Amino acid sequence: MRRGMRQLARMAQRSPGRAGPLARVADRMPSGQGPRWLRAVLFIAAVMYPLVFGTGGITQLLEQIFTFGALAMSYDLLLGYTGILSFGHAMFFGTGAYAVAIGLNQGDGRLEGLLVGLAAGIAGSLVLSGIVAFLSLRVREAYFAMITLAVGQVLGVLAGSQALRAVTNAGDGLTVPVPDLLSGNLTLYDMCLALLALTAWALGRLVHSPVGDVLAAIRENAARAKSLGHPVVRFQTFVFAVSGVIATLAGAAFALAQSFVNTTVYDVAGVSLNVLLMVVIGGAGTLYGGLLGAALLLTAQTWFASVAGGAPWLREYMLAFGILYIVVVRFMPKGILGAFLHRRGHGRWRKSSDCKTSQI
Amino acid sequence: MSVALTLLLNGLANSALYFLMASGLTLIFGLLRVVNFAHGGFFVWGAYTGTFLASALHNLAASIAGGAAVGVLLGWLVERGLMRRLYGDATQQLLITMGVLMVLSELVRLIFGPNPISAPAPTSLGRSWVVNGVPLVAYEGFVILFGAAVFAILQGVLRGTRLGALIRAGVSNPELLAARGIPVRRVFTAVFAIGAGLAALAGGLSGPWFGAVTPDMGMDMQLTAFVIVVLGGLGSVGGSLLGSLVVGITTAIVSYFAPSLAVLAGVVVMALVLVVRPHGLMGQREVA
Amino acid sequence: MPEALEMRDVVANIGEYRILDGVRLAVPEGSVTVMLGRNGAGKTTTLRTIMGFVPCLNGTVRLFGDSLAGLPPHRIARLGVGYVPEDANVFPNLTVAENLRLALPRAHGRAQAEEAVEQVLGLFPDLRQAYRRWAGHLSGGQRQMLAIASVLVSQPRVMLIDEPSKGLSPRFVDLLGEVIAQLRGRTTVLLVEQNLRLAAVAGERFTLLDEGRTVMEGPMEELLENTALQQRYLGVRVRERGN
Repeated sequence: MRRGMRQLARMAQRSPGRAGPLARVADRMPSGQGPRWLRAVLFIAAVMYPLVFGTGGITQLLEQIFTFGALAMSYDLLLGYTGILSFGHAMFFGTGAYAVAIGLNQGDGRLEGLLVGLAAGIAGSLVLSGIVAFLSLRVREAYFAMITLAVGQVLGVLAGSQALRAVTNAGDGLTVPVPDLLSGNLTLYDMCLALLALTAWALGRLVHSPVGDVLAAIRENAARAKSLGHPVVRFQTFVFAVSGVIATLAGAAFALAQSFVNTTVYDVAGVSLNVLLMVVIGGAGTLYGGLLGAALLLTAQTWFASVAGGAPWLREYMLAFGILYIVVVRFMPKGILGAFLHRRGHGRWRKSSDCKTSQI
Repeated sequence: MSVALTLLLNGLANSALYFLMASGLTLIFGLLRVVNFAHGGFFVWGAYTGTFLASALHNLAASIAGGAAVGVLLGWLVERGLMRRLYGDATQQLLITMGVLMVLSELVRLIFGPNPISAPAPTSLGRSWVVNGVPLVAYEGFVILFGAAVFAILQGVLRGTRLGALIRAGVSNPELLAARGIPVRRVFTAVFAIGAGLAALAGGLSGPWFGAVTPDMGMDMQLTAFVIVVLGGLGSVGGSLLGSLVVGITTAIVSYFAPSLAVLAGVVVMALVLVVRPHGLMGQREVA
Repeated sequence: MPEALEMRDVVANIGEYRILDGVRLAVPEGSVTVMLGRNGAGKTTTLRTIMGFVPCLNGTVRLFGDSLAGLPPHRIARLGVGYVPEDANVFPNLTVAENLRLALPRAHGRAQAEEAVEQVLGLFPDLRQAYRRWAGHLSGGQRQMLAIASVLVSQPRVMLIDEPSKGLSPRFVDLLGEVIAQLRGRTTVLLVEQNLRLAAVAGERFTLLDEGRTVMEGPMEELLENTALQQRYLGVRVRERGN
C-alpha cells in the first residue's frame, strides 16, 4: 500500500500541468482540519473522558461515533476529495465486521483468529474494490453509484442467506468473542479512538500530498485532468481501495466494540446512506466534516431510540432520516463545516455552478 | 421441455415488468443525464395504489390506471419541486433521487404497515390451463402482452410523433434543442413524469404477479432495473428491452433451480457483460 | 431605428476565466456582418452570450432594441434569433425531415409548415434528395447546409452562424458563400468566419475581436484593403486556409 502511494505521489509530481490552472484549483482545497491545538484538545478530552467519568452509555455512543467517524472520513475521501459517489460503502464496512466476527468465531476468540480475519477482510476488500472499480469506473461515473449499490445489496443478501449459515449464522447474526488482549470496555474504547486518530492522520497526510492535488483536479474536472495526462481511473481506483481498507478497519472495530454482527452492517440505509448523510451534513471535502456529521447523527439516533417509547411517531426514524437527507442535500450542500469554511473564503464543495453548464 | 416452456413464459412475464421499469429509467437518463434512484419509489407507489384500488373497486383497468396516474403525478412533483433547480450538478441530483426513494418507501411503510399485503389477480385473469404439461396462467399472458404493447407504443411515440422527435433530439443534444426555441425543461418534465408513470404501471402489474406488495419491493426492483440498464446500455430503449429479456429469463431459470441465488444471477450477468462490453450490450461510447 | 443586434461593453466568464471583456457590436438589419479574430478571441462565446447560454455579466445585448439579458435560450430563439453552432449543429439521430420541422412552432398549421420547409428546400436542393435520410449519415457539407436550413425554416430575424466553412472542401465553401449571400436582405446575419475568402464573398461589414475585446469594425472593404490589420489580428496563415 505505501509503495503504491509513493508511486502515485511520484506520478502526481511528474504529471504535467501542475503549475497550471490545476495547481490553482488545488490551492483552494478546503481545509477542514482546524487549528492543531483544537484537534489536540479534543483528542486529549476523548482519552480522558472514560478515565474521569468511567465507561457506560456515553462511551458506547462515543465508540460508535469514533468508528462511524473513521468510516465517514474514508467516505469523504471518495465523495468530497475525488468526487465519486458510492451508494455501497457498507460493502467494506460489512466485510470488515464479518471477517473479524468469522475469524474470531472460527478461532475461538484467540488473537490469531482476529488477525487472520482482519487480513482476510482487508484482502477481500481490496479485491472487491478492484472488481467494482474495473467494472464501473472506466465507463462512466453514473455506473459507479449503481454498481456499488448492487454489490452492497448482494453481499448483504449473501450474509443473510441460509446457504452460508454454517459461517455467518444467516439472519441471526454472530456473537463476537473478543480476544483477551482487547477485552474490557476501556481497551475497546481506546481501540476505536486510536483507529479514528490514525485514520484522521493518514487521510490528512494523503489529501495534502501531491496525490491530493491530483484528486482535487479530478473532482473539479475529470476530463481536463485526463487531458492533462493524469491517469484518472488509476487514481480513482487507488482512492477507492484506500477508502475501502479504512472502512474495513472501521467495520472490524465496530464488530469488536458491539461484540455482535448481523446483516445490518451491510444495510444500505443504515450504513451506506447513513455515512453519506454524515459526510454531507458535516461538509463533504472537509475531512473532519464526516466526524462532525457522525457525532450529530448518532447522537440524534440514540436520542430518537430512547424517547421513541413515549412518542410512537418517533419510531418513524427512517422517514425523518429520508426527509432530513433531502433537505440537507437540497439546501445545505456544503454541510456545516463546508459552509463555515466557505464563509471564511476558502472552502468549496465540488465544482462551482457557473456557465460551464449550459443554462437550458 | 415443458419445464423449459414454463420457465420461458415466466421469464417473459418478468421481462415485461422489468422493461416497464427500465425503459423509463433509460429514457430519463438519456435526456436528463440523471440516474433516477427514485424510480423504485414510483414503482412501489404504483403497486400499493393498484392493490388498494383493486380491493376497493375490483376493476383491473381502473386500478392499474390509477397506479400509473399516481406515478405520473409523483414524477411531475419530484421533477418540478426538487430536480429542476439542480440540473448541471449530477451528484446532487443522484443524492436527491436516493432520498426520494427512501421517503416514498417509508411513507408506504407508514401508511400500509411493514408487512406484505396480498394482491390477488382479478378473477377474470385468475384462470389457468394446462396444455401438454405446460401450465398457462392467464395473468402471465396478460403481463407479457401488456409489456409488448407498451414497447410498441413507446417505439411508435418515439419514431412517429413530434414529442418523440423532441425526446430523441433532447437525448442527442439538449442545448441545440433549446437553441431551436424548444423549452427543453418542459420536455424534461414530461419525460420524467412519463418514466415515473411507466414505473408505477410496472408496480400496479407486479402486485398480482408476485401475489403481494411490500414496502421493500421498490429497492429490489430498482436494483434489478439498474442491472438491466447497465447491461443493455444506459439511454437505449432497445437495450433496455434486450436487458430485460436477458435478466427476466435468467431470473426465472435461476430461481427455479436455486432460489437463493436469484439475486446474484442478475448482478453476475451484468458483471460478465461489462467485462466484455463496458458500455453495455447496446450502449454507445461517449465522453462522460 | 434600432440595430437588429446590438452589444455594448459585454463582459462574460466561462468558469472563472474572463472570456469577453468589452465586446461591442452593431449589426444593421438585413446585413451580413462577419466577426473575425484569432482562435480564443471570444467569437463563439460572443454568440453563446447572445443566445443566453453564457450569462452576460455586464453590458447590454439588444435585439431590435429589446434587451435579451437574463432570458433563457429558448425564449431568445423564439424572439427570432437563430443559432447555428460550429459543431453538433444537427440532430444525427433524427431524419433530415425531422430536423427541419423541429423548430416549427406547433401553432404553425400543417400546410404552413410544409410551405416553410418547401421554401427552404428550394435553397438547398441537396437536402431535398436526402429528405428521408438520417442526418448523421450526411456528408460534412450537407450537414452544414441542413444546420442552416433547419434554423432558416423558422424565419429568424437574426441568424448567428459559427464558422460554417470549418473542415469543408473549397467547393462547399463557395456554395456556402452563395447561400449566405442569398440570405442578405431576407434576414440579418452575424457570421463568425476565419476564412477571409468566404468572409469577403458573404460579408458587408466586419467586426474584429481580440482577447475578448472588439478592436475594430467597419465595412468589409476596409479590412480587405488593410493587410497590416489582417496580419496583426488574423495572422497570415488565415488567408491561406480554404484555398
